[in-house]
Amino acid sequence: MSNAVTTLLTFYTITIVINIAIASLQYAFYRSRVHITILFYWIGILIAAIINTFFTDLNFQLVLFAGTGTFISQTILGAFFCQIRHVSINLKLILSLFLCTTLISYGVSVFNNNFSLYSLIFIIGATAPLLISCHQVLKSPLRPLTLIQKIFCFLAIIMSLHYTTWAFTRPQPELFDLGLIVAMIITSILSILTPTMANEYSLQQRMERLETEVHLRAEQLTQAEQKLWESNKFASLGRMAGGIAHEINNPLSIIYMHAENLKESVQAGIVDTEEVLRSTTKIEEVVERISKITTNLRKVARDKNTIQKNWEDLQKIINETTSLCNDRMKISDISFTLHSPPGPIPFYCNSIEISQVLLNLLNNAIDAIENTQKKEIHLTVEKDASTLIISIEDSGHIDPQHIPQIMEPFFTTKSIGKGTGLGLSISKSIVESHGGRLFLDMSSITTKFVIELPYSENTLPMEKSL
Amino acid sequence: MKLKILLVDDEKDLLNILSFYLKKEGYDIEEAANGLEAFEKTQTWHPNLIISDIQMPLCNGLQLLEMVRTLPPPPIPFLFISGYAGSDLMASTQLKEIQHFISKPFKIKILLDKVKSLSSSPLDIAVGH
Repeated sequence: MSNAVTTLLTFYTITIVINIAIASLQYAFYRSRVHITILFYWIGILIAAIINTFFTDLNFQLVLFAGTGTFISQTILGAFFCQIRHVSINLKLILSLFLCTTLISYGVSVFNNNFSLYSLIFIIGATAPLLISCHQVLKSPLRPLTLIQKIFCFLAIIMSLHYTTWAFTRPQPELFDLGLIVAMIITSILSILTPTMANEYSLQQRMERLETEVHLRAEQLTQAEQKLWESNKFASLGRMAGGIAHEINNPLSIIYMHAENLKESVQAGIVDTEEVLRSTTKIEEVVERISKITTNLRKVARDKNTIQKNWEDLQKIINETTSLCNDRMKISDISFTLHSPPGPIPFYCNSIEISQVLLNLLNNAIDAIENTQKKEIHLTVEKDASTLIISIEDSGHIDPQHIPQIMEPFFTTKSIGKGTGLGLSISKSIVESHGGRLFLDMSSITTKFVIELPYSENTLPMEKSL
Repeated sequence: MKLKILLVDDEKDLLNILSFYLKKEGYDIEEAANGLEAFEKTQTWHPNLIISDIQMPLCNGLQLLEMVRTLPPPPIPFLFISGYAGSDLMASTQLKEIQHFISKPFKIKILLDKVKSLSSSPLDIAVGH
């Protein structure tokens, strides 16, 4: 072997070994299967190079060993490319083609000892895997090829062509050296391409994983938000439950007693028509009272997703919501005033969400002042051409050190079981989803929360449809 | 002598139907819409029994009980009626001392029986102390 060839082979071997090292390092870092594939490729190439060097007799044995090495490494490289492009490799075709060419090549070698002929037949089967894989990839238009991948395809064709020339260059030492130089150039390019491609793939995989994770988290967040909304809703309804029970039990007592009275009169055989009428009228009255409470309660307790934003009368929403708090305020002896402009206030909103906000603010106000000396709550509605302002002011005060945190979720000064700490943060997000803002009026001496909502008086009557 | 019962509730309709039944049983009835009014009537009219709601504006039933206890003897027994069961108010220690309580809604017979038993055993009915 000439000195030049030895030097070339040494360089060739070093290049391959460096590639093995790079692939190993990449695998250690990314833990991706593609790096294992490429590692096997380079090991295969190394073995093929060694065989090529040490088998010097031109016979079928050399073709079999070197060609099988080529076949394995080309298959691995094809598998690598398919893996990167998320395409399945056509192993059936690759193997059957290789088997056919091997048998034909052997047959030819037995009958005709022309090295170039039978080795060419063999090599066609051995280099086909990469070309088949490239074809497989180009066939499936999943995502456009990156520049590197296009270069790889091009190189794959050149490489296959180069391998087939081996059948003719191998017997001639000068040409074989030239072939070795070409092989070195191809290998060098390949040693730049494969790690880059593997890297590209790993990064893309990571990105996809992250994207899926982000989607998953976003979904979880939406669900959690929904749960929070629900828990806050039921917490605020729970705060009123006692009051509502009282409000319903009173009329129930009245019905009970009137019914007993009627029954007794019938049993005694004395039916005073006037008294019957009085009793039944009274029963009707109080039943109406109860049904009003349950209707309002149902309106607030509904799932917010069952209704969409619509044109609603804000005046009505406020009245329904405050009616639910009336009893709590009565029990705690709180004086409540409501000032609002006369007539309906058409407003485009989700009525359940808006009543939720009002309920939260009113419950907070009641909680804050029910055990204080002065007990007053004022709800004021003001509107101008572009803004609607609902302010809820109570006679209490917020500890200045708590002010920066009051809108934060889970912040509460209430005792366990009395507050979830979600009311204000949820109210704030509801108001913001209506394009408005909720804030604490710092200029007020007592606690005053302000809901500011965008409002237009010039909506078409058609749209209002109240 | 007729037993004098003071009825205290902010629910006018309830007062009406209750007093109708109690009058039919032969009791002497006075009505008050809140604790303050009830306290004034207690001082002038001297009822033998007070049937009172708990949650009322101005002065609730428990505050009324406190005020009535400060009056000179004989102590006046209280019978509370309320629809606000299970609340924080019900848990208050003050309320634990209450022996006679009917939760709304109730059958009128239960109230009448309770009133009868209270009026027939006057020694039993002293509340507190």
